[in-house]
Amino acid sequence: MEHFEHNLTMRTSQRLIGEVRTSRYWFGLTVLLSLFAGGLIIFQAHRLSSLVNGVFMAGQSRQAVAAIFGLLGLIILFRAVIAALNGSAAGMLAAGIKRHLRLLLLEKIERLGPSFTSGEATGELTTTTLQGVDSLDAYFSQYLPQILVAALLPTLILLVVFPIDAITGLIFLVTAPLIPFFMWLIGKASENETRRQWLALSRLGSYFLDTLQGITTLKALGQSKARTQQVREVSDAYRETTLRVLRITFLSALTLEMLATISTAVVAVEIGLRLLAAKIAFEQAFFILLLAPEFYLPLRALGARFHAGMSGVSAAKRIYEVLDTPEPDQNIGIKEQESFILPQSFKIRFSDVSFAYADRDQDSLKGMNLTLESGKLHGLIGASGCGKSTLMQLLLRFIEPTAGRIFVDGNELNSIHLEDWRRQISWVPQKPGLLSASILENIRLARPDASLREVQAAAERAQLHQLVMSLPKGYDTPLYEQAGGVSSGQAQRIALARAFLKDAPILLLDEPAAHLDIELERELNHAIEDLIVGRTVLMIAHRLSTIMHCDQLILLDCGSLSAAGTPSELLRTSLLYRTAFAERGGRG
Amino acid sequence: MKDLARLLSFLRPAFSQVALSVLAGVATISAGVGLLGTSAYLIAAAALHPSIADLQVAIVGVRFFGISRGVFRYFERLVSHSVNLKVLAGIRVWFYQAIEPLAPARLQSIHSGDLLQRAMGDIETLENFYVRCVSPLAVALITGGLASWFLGTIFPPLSGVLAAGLALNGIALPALMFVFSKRNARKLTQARAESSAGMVEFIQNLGVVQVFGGQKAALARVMHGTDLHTNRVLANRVMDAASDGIALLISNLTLLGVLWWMIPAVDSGTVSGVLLAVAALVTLASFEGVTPLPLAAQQLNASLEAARRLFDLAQPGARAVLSGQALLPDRAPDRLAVQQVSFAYPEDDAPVLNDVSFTLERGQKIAVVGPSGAGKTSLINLMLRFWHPDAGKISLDGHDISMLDEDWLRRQYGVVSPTSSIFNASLRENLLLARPQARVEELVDALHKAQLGSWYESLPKGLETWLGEQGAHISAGESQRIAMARLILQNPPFMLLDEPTANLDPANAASTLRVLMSLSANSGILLITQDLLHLEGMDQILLLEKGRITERGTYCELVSQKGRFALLVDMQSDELLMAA
Repeated sequence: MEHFEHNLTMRTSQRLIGEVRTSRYWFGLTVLLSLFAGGLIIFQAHRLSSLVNGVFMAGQSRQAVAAIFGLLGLIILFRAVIAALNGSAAGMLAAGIKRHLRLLLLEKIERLGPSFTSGEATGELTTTTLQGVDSLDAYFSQYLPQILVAALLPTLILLVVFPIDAITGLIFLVTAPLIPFFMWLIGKASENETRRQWLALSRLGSYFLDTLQGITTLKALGQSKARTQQVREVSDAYRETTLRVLRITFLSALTLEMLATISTAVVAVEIGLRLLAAKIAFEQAFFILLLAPEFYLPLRALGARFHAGMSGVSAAKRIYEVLDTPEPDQNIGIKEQESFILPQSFKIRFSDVSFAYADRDQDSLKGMNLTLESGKLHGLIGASGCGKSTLMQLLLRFIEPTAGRIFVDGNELNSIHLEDWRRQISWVPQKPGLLSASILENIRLARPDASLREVQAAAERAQLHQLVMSLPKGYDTPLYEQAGGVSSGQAQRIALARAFLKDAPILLLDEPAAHLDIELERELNHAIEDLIVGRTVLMIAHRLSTIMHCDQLILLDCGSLSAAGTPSELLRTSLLYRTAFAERGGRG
Repeated sequence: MKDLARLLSFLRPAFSQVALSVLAGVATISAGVGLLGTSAYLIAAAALHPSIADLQVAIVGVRFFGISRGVFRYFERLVSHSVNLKVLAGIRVWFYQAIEPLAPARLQSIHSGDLLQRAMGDIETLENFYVRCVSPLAVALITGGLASWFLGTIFPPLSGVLAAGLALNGIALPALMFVFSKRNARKLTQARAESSAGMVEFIQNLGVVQVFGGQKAALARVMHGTDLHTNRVLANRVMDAASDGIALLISNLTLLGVLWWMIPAVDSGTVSGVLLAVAALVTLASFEGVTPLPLAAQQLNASLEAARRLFDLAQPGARAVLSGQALLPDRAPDRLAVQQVSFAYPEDDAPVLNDVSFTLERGQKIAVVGPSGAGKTSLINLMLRFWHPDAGKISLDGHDISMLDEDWLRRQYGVVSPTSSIFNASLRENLLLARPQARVEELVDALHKAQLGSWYESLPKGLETWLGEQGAHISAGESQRIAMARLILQNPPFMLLDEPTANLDPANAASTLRVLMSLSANSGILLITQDLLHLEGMDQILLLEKGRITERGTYCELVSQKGRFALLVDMQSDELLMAA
């Protein structure tokens, strides 16, 4: 298990680094600038040691070294500009990759469709696409460039130091790999501890959120004041466990710091003693001393950014998981560029259609055989969870049958281009699906090129027009997130207006649940009756009065077709229908 | 400034630890300065070929600083994080205590879920306040002073040069960052909220968008939102990079300045040449203290913003109901009277309740029915004194409830509502909230009475079963019944039941309602429901439409009146019920 986990991390890291391709110019620029900056650091140390040597050893005056001052000033200026450019380039690199991955994710989610997003929690996908991708920012703009610097600068310094003083070079060479090694070792040792700490933190967080969300209940139970003490105790307990963990985690800081400082100290003492024995000149000794901190700095900085790197990789795991989700091949049987035209009269036939959701053992639909006829009103009835919405989703082509076939006018449904097919259908779901845009734009979703007059006509038929006109901003009234600002009745009428505007021959409709509002019910009923006229309709029906008006009823029971026929036929033939009918119908 | 002072006041209980952590921080940086300073001294002195004994002190110094720095760093980390956690715990407790008297009135007015999530995020942002802002600033001030003083002992003018450089890097640059990041931070927060809303919308409306053919536009809209956010983040990165460049410029120019000033003194022999190397490296090393400050300024912005939101939220508003009067009647009340009550939420103009009156005696059952949004739930909020009526009054045995002790008042009610919370704790703890001193048998008995008997017996861990966040590990129907079991344990004079069967399937709803009604002949029951078909046993039914009681009477009376209630019953009978 651990091995597998490790492999996954490796593969994810590799794939993540591969993403650099999409912004390779920015990456190239970062490499180039890092190299250049490294060279300048060494050059500056070299000139500085020469300057100090000139004054200290050779007794030169300020005037004599003024040229070096000028050069140093220039180097510093260059370094500053490069630092600013390099950071910005890394930012551009990260921004480009983030944008690319986000687009991939969104397109993927769109292709996977609503059947995928309903299984996955909306919140989780949102987090992956937004915060998940955002946590890659630090990976690409900080961690990756730091790896570069940590690889380039010490190498450059080694190349310079070795010819001057092999012993120092050796000390550098031996200690440098120890830093990443210890980093890895300690990271591994504290991995479990760190995970436990994050767990404790998220527990504390959710405990606190839980308490706040339940505050009304606590208050109603008269327990809210007593809870203060508990909040304190839980926070204190968290503090203690965290500190225990930190004691270990911070050992890494101790070790890394020690390695770098002790090495610097050893180098200083070593060259000091060699200087004393006249085996090295002051200028070179001072040069090396100036380089020693620069040698260790990038390695230590890498340690500080290690966490950013790791959290980037773990976010990437989830991102790739979504991107790698297999998609149903929706255009499997498509013949060349055929465009589909629905004739006046047609049949939709389900032939032995079954469907099973990937995460459930049981089929949601089992061997369904069924025919829908053009121009008729088909009522779909059955208990909740019996497969009504699965049937709808198949026709909407959010999902494909796991077995069996669906034919439309003799053509197999999946041989029709998805866009062609969806042009033929309108859908009025239970939840209307409002966008945070104006009412006008929400209705126009059905036909972006529709004129205002056409939109108004559709709204009028959906019993919405009067209501919209009573709003101060009329059709430009904005709807907020998740339809804040409109009642559910209004939202349903917007969905109806959309269907009126689209005016598609096939209508899939989920009859709205009852409101205890007499006027609203009347208006909705009226609009729906108007909408059905002249279309081929499949309606999930809840009400006897609606059911009685259907041309055909389709009664589902536990994923199978229990009975089909006209209402009066069903009353004769289906015990299930009769029982349900009697339960309520007898009273009304 | 006020927010900052208030934020700093959370540090007071941890003052000695704060001092300790700053001290350790100063020691860490000083050790770094010491290491490079003594190293430079060692090498420069060795260049003059003295006897090795003259170098002994320097060698010991180099070793000491080389080893001690890591140890100091370790302590600094440990202590400062301990302070951090203490502060954070303090803020949590403070926030809870501040919000408790204001809930739920304060939380209901805005999207409460969002609000609490944001408060949680804000508290977590403050986590960084001490470690990233306060401690580095204190450490930088002290070490900057020390280093400047030290250079002054070598050659007096140098202390001014170094102090100027440090101040530029440690005060001027962070101040600049503070100003720029403030503008960007606000836009960043906004962009984040917008892109998140756009994303949620994209996912939740995917089906409708696909059927109506708006995928491209929807995708473009989400991308546009996230691009705005990405650009804001990029602006931050560019700002950081520019600040890095400027910091590099300042520290290295300071080094050149120190040398420039010192060289004539070395030249003239006033200062030993050995100290030239020392001054150079001390200057470079002393900038370590100020390096984190530009980023700290950004962090400070975020912390102040978070603090401001929290303080605002915890501010008692005009409408929040605070406990004032504390009348404690000596016996349980028998009669709940609602007299001509009108009420509107502050942000709405339209009243949710308009001249509502009725009386509920113990042993009596009243149902309030009507469309959603008619004001039914507000009625319960008023009875619990979460809000005050704008006009009219509610009284228990003639005592106006606004005169009664808050806790006593709420003990007279048992509430079951769709928003009744299940806590992320064990079943036992969830039940004990209703009666903390209840015995195990009583808990089990209550579960049985709430029709959870067979469910309870199927639980391998029994009462210790963990119910999960918001009751995530149990079904909606089970949480509803746990709320009911709580009610049974409470056995209050009045039961306020807000849609108690909303999450149950029809067959269960009917039996549950029967159980609830039979629970206590001794309690007064107020039932709020949209289900009109099981109300025959109620003593009175009130039809509430748009805040007004439009019809009242028993089920038979109302049906035979053939008014609006009768019409609604007809409509509801029309629903076909299929048993699952």
